[in-house]
Amino acid sequence: MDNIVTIKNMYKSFFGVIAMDGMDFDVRKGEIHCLVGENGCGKSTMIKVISGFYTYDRGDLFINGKKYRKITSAESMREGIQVIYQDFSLFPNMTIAENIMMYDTTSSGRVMVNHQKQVDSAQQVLNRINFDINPNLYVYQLNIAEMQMVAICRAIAQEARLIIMDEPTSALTSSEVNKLLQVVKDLKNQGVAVLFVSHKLDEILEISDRITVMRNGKSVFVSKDGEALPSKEELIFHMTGKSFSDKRNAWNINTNQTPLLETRGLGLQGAFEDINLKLYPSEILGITGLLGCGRQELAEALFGVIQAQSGSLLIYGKEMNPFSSVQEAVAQNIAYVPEDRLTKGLHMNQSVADNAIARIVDQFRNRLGLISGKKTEEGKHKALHTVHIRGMRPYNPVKSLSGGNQQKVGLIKWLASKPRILILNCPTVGVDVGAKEDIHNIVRELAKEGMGVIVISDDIPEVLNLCSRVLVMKNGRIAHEVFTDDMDIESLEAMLADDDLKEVV
Amino acid sequence: MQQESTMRVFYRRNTDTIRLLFITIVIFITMSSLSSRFLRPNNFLSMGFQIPELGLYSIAMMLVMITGGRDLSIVGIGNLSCIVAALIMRDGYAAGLAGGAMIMNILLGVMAALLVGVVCGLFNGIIVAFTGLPSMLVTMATSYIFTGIGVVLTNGEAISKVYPEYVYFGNNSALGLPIPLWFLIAALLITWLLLNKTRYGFEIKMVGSNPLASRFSGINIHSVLIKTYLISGIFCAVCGLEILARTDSAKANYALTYTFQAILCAVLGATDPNGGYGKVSTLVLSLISMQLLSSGFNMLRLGTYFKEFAWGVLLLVVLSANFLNNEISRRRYVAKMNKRAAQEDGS
Amino acid sequence: MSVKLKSFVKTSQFALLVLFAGTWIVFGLINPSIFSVASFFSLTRACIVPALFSLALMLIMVLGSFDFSFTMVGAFASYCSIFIITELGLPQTPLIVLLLISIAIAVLLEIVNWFLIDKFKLQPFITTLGTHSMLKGMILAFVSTSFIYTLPDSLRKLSTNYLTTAKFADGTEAVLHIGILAVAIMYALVHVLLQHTSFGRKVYAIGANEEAARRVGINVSKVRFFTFCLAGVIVGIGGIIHDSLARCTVPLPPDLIGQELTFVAAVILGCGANLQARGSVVGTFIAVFFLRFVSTNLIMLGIPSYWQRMVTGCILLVSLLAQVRGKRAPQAGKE
Repeated sequence: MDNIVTIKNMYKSFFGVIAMDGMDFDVRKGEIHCLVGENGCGKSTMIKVISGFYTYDRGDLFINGKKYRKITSAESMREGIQVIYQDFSLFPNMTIAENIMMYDTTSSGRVMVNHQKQVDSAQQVLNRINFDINPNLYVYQLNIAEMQMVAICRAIAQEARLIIMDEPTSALTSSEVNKLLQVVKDLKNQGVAVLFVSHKLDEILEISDRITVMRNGKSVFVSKDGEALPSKEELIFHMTGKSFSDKRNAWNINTNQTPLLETRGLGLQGAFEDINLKLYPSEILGITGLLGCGRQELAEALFGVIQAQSGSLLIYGKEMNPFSSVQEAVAQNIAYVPEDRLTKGLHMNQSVADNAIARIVDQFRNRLGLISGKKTEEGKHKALHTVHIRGMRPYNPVKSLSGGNQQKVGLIKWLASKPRILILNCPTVGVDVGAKEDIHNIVRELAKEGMGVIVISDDIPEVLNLCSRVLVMKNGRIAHEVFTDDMDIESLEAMLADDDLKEVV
Repeated sequence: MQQESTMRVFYRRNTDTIRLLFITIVIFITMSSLSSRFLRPNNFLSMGFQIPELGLYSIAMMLVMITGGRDLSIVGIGNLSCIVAALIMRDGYAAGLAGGAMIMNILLGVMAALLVGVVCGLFNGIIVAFTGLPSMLVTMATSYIFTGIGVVLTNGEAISKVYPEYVYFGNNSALGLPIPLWFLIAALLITWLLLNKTRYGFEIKMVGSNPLASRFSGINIHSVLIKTYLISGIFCAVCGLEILARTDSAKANYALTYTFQAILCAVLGATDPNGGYGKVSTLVLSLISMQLLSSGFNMLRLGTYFKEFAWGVLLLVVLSANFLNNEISRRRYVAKMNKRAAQEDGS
Repeated sequence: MSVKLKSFVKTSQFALLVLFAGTWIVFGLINPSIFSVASFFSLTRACIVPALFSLALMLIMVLGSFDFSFTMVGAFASYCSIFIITELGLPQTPLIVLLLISIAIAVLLEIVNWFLIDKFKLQPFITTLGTHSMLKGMILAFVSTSFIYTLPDSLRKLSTNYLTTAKFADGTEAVLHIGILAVAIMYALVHVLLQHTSFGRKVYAIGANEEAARRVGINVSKVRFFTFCLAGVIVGIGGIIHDSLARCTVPLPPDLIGQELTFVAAVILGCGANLQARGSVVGTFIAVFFLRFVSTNLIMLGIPSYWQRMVTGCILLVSLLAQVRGKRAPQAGKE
């Protein structure tokens, strides 16, 4: 067999959350293989299993033909597998040469370090990918693209046979991306296999030999050897899947009212530009687009986490400058449930109940201005009953809940403060199907009661289910606006794929 | 939500307190049995006079630790406030002030001391909040600065001889308890109110456990941090006033070991050194335990040296016990989850 | 070569050197005797012990850890070593034996610190605060409280062993103590270790990014272990030299215990506290000299000597604030 990595029918779960659900996968020698899938599909887990960071529960793992029931990081590296993580794992306080030759330094067993030899060896590696830079510069002096090149050089210096790159182009400009893709091709010519994990369909189609699409822990599509690569539309179709329920929004939006939220010409250098949108009461507005389109930054700007540089906001008709802090947004009754609940959304070590009432603690004051214990308990009880969470113990820490239930607590926290505008960022990532339905129903109920909801998601069926109107963002601008009544999945996916607009940066 | 018996809920929510109560009782029984003089009322009275100093410093330290930080300057602030009050009152006493003028002078001294606490606390808080520097390093530097100012103001000597009327407060009882102890009780009550009955108390725990999520929740982290160091500074100033009342003297280097003891008391009192958790009830028990141990050591003539050794060992034991405890429950939890996942797979 | 020179110029060590030179010139203009060789010798003698202790702390801090007990470890090890020899009535014991005993004890104590920090994953500052207190109590309660004024012969000889002398303007002599050689040797050794061996690279790596170091295959526990041991060796030697220079040994030497901040200040001033910090031996050396120079000559600016504490605190605070530029968003003041 000519495979570096073969995975057959692999299962892996964490605390009841299934990450890999019968995954099949293989990488051949010297090929450029791209792995595609949306957030939470299990890509990172599989990579961490291959690199020895995690063990798997069931299935088969073969590396270079050898069967491994368990593999350690050291063994994985010895087999020639190198992972370049999104943070590059470089040491800023050392020179480029030292970083590139770090593995040699730590594993060769030699005591003394020969600096000149280190620089020479590093220079050789730099030449292999035509990276022209002084190897004596310190890494903290470099920009992100250069750091990435150094990370790649380090992998090459370790005689890698397979280099795994996890979302390598997310922080690069287009010319830097081109350079990177050229390097990947060079690597292939030198016989190094590359596993390229990415969202960017253009890049994937440009350099792949084969493509695997992963969804919900399984491989749903593998392009065949020798055949032409699938089209972008096909890829998106596989990525987002077909499952959706028939429920749509059954109420009309009155566009003659004052919008709850309106933006005029909102812009932020390097992220998004000229955003004009309106959100009406009882409306569920969707914002979608591929990763990097600017939707993340727009969400954070609407909540004051970052400050937009140009344009203005109108909240319920009143004009104001873009928010400079979260407090300003909160003061306007805006709520935001972030995509990363682990670090941004919840306090993992605090109890479920405490997280739930985090925003409304003020409401439990008694006449003296102090917080009444009795009112707090009632408030906690009430809040935790707005959403059904099975098997929850309110005084246990939130980290003990499943992903879906954690997301619900995050929702509860913000709903408790009765916002007028609710922004949800990837609300059902890593959430099981049942909880997903629950969350969708909650959102619909809220909208019916008059709340304006913005749903930012790359889950096309979810967007179509929930939203009455969808904005498609591309390269920092709003490229399309569609009404979901007369829209189907394929057409929406096609819009994500289309190439008309040029880049903003 | 599942229904659990109220007893079980009570137990689970208060494991710390129950555990610490157990430890306190054990210490009490051990000490009483080791020395016959332990149970005498004199002993308890003298403990009552000694405990407020450690108590006030520990409260100050606990508040800062809940935010995840350390305040090494508490004793510096305490001594400096003590010195400032002493200078004012000594001069007033030496000038023979009496009656209304004396009261004004005392009040002036008290106000000045509290002001010192406020200014020092703000200084610490603003630097820590706005620079993001590790609080340990910042307060290490400010402790030297505050103590240094104290040395400069006193020329390295002790200031003493203030009004006997003022000293009265530090050495006499009211309603059966030493007056300083009443102040400690008041301070504990205020802290309890702050932590459990105000929005600030809620926010301080959130900031300590996850600053990023707090920011996303709309909590003003800078404001919370500054308030914390400010309140801590005020408690330290009160402690300084108490020291002056009890000992009738103010020194720049008085009782520097209190910094360590305050940390020990907080950690023993179930304050999480990583931030996010702290309870007044457990702090009280920890305070009592340490005071019992301290008095017990004195009775057994074990000397201050042994005490220092014991405190060091105690801190290490508590930290290690916490770690082992967490490890065990973590492993138990992982095993339980894996078992459950395996069951679900099979079904 | 010129790239190296250019990057050195940009470093904080260079800035420190300039600061030192400037201060030296200013002070010298006020009191020209500062420019004398004798003055330099006497400054050097005062720096020997701080230089060694700061070096040990620097090693630990480069690793990304912290050790508050290092002064106590050195004092404890040295006191015990001399105490044992004195109790056994062996005043002829050669220097090397005393050193070895002291080193052995110090290393053992640092291994305890290592165990708590590495295996129990306890926070370095609080933990070493605990071992510090424990040692303070232990030495007085279980070893002895006596001040030993009669040191073994080898130490007495050491205290008067000097390389050369120089005279002040008023005729008093100042000696260049041989201890400076010990400092030079230790600094050179550590420099070579950190810059030119793979072990040193690993230490830097762990300090920069512990997780990344693990990923590159570095055995973090092992490297930490040896670093703590090496710190123990240095403070073990430092303790003996301290006692020799002081001509006595006491359980809690006041110029060590309670002076921890001065050493921390030297390390931070010399190396920086942010991402670019490379833990330079040269920087620490300059910082130690600079701090001691300032504090001994404060009187020249009309600042009485008991202001020393405050001045040191201010210097540390200012150097911390000066390095804030490299930081990211503020955290909740965590350790």
